[in-house]
Order: sequence, then structure tokens, then C-alpha cells
Amino acid sequence: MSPPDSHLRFTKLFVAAQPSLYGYLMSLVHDRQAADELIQELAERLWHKFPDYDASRPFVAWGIGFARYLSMEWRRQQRRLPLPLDDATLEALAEAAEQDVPAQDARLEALRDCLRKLTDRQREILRQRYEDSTPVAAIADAAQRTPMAVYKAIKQAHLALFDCVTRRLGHTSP
Amino acid sequence: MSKLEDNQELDDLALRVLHGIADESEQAALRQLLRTKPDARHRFVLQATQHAMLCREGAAGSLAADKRLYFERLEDDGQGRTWARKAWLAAAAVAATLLVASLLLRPTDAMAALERVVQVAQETVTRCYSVRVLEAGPPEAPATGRGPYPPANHLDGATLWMKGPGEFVLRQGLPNGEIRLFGGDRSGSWTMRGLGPVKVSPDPTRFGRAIFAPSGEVAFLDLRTQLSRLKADYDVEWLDDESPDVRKLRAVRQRQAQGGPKEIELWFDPASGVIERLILRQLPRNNGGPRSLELVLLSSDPLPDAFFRHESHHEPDRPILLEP
Repeated sequence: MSPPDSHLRFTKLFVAAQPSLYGYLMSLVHDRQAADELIQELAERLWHKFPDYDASRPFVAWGIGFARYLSMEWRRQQRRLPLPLDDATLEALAEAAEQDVPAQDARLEALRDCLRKLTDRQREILRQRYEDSTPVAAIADAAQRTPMAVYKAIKQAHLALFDCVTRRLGHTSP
Repeated sequence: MSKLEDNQELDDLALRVLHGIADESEQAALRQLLRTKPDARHRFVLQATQHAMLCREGAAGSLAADKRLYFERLEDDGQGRTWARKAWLAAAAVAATLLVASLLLRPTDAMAALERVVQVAQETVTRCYSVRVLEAGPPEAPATGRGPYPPANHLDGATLWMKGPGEFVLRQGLPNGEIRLFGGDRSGSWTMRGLGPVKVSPDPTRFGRAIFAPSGEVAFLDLRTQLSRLKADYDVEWLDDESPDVRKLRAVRQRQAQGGPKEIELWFDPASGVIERLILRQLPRNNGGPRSLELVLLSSDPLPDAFFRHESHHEPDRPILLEP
């Protein structure tokens, strides 16, 4: 396969798998900046290893092996983690995250639909928090409110979305 | 504790961790739940996954309420005109006033919508467009000094990826079956053809100059520059909507303005402000190239920065030629 064909094929596969891989990374590192850096690194690693990729396997399943390794490596290098976990719990969490991957596309579609159903206030607080990754404390400062009040507003919007997505997918909450 | 209370506790602890405000006792409580309860692990993964999706949606600008409210306001303008027509039946003078006001406002709204589209186009977001030549130029001899395949002559079927300023990849199929890539990252530009060497330069416009620089044959492929020019040099108007999910604008170059296509039609998603389709008609043809062409959005999914570096597009042992 010529390099341009190869890169187009890789791009197509990676772009399709990226939301799932990013969600998987977040489930294990619990930090947006870390997930952002790791998804870049993951792209580079997968690209370099792409000649070894067995096309009979789902790309996302192939990528998750690397994502898991990168996450564990990142956790080992941190002096302080958002959520310290022992190895057994982390392994169990990685397994749970892996099981959830096949449903991610439907979940993302449902989330986009549910975002439209939020109130303006709910949507605005999510925008403030997620658009530029503004910390809760900074939002609170700017709005002259307490961090706890801002957190509660974010939590309420987040849970409204979560319930909507769960209903849309026809699932009961775990 | 009931399942509902379990879930509430898990949700609260998970969100505190994900939003970076959990203290040590809350981290310990969450750790205990994750260690002992498979259901808690499953629910935590779902919360983390939703957090990840919101991070991506937020970074892509999809949560921007102002865009939505802005375009809702534009829609309200249409409703206002409907109301005005009804009012005319009861009070012609009032209706006439509203109608005139509406007509006066309409071009301003189109320009304001264009401002938004231009603003979104400036954002560091990956977009991938296919290029189709709608009307080829006359079969003139290609410009000399540009090799056998002048860039502007082989745009039909090309693919263009763009991200931040200076970040692009243009993929062209050439008549001899080879693929040519032009690219730029934040440190310079590069090009390669077929299996030949990779030419790399710290000058960001060295290889893409023929295509992207303002004086190039098809400078319109630099959407950011082109869209910015629209505001100053073109008269902009709404065209009828083809679907409720897409709005359409037409821009006609003002008589005194120089350069650029004579007419531009663009379709954009009112929710995101992202251009979905762009037609450029009656392009200037100083150095060859097509008369009219169309760009269609293939994807706006994010791509890693590495995609815009040449190393992502060839094997590691390909010869590299450094140019000034």
C-alpha cells in the first residue's frame, strides 16, 4: 500500500475510533489535560505501529491495548493523581471501560441530541466549564459565586444529560 | 443504602474527581466504592465517558450557547416577518413599517451571520473538504517554471485538510497516477510527489505558495483569508434555505474590489457556524486553474497535530531535502 493510501486509511480509522479512545483514556487518567496529551501520543504510536495492524481486528480494540499501556505509564509517572487507585482496582476499572467501548458511538449521538434539550443556563455553565477547560474555581471567581455553587450547577447539568442519554438508549442506570 | 442513594453518592464523588475539586476523604470514599462494587465501576466509567465527550464537544465549540442564541435570533427575524404579514391584515400601516424594518435589517443579519462563520473558520478546528472543479478554465498552456503538473490544474478530486493557522494538507491525484501532497505545520511547509523525496522548508508558504498565497492562482483555498475578504469586498445576502439544518449565503464581489472569485455561495450549519459547502464562481485566472469550483465538508472530526507534519505521510527512510 502506498504511503498516501496508508495514511488515508489510518486517518479514517483513527478519526472514527478517537471518541472511544479518548473516553477510555479519561476513564483511567481522570484529567482532561492528560487525556488530551495522551490521545496525541496514542495517535503517533498507532501510526508508527500501523504496518503491524491486523485489519481483521476492530481498530478501536487494537488501539485500546496501546491506550491502556499509555494510561498506566502516565499514572506511574505522576507524583500526584486526581484519583490514586491500587493496581487491582485500576485493572478492574480498565476492564469496565473496555466493555463500554462498543456502545460509545450511540452514546455520543444521544448526548448530542440531549444537549439540545438542556436549559440555556445548563448549557451555559457547561460551555463555561468545557469550552476552554476553565477550572471550577475560575468560573466561580468570574461569576462572584462560591466554587461549590458552580460545581452544583455543573453537576445538575451533567446529571440531566446523563439521565437523558440513559433514557434515549433505553437503559436502566447501573 | 438504596441503589438510588448509592448512585447519587457515586455520581457526586465521580464528578468531584473529574472536575478536580475532590478532597482526600472524597477520593478515598470513591476508591472504596470502585474497589468493592462492580456497578460503581460501570457507572463511574459512564460518567467519565460523558465528561470526555463534553470535553471534546466543548473544544469543538458545540456547547457555545451564543451561537445557538445568535442563530435563533436570526430565525426570530423570519417569524417576525410572518407576524408582520398577519398584522398587515389588521393594520396596514403598522405592517408596512415592520416590513420595511425587516427588509432593512436583512442584509445586516446576513453580514452578521457571515461574521460568525468567519469567526468559526478562524478557530483551531480540523476540517476536511473535498474539492471539485465545476468549470475548468480554457486549455491554455500551463505556466512555465512550475514543473509538469501546475498545482492549480489538478484540483478536481483533491482533498484539503485544515486546522490552525498554517496547518494544512492538500492531497492531489496527478495524471500519471502519482499522489502529490502539500502540507504545512506551525514550523514550516513541505511537499512530496509519488515516492520522491520530501522537500521541507521553514518558510510556511514556500511550497503551497502557488495555491495558498494571496497572489497564487487559487488563493481561495486559504479559506480564512478568503472569508475575511468577504466582509470587506463582497455584498452578502441570504438565499432560500434548502433544509432547516442548513443556511445559505451568497456573496457577490463589489465592482471596485479586485481579485478573488466574482461570486461565492456558502452553506453553513447554523448550530455550529461551520461551512458545509462552498462554491466559488468566476475565479480570476492570472496563471491558469479552474473557472469555478466547489468545496464540500467531509469531516470536522479532530485530527492530531502530527497529521500536519510530513513525517506522518511517508516512511521514515524517505530522503528529506531541506530548502530555504
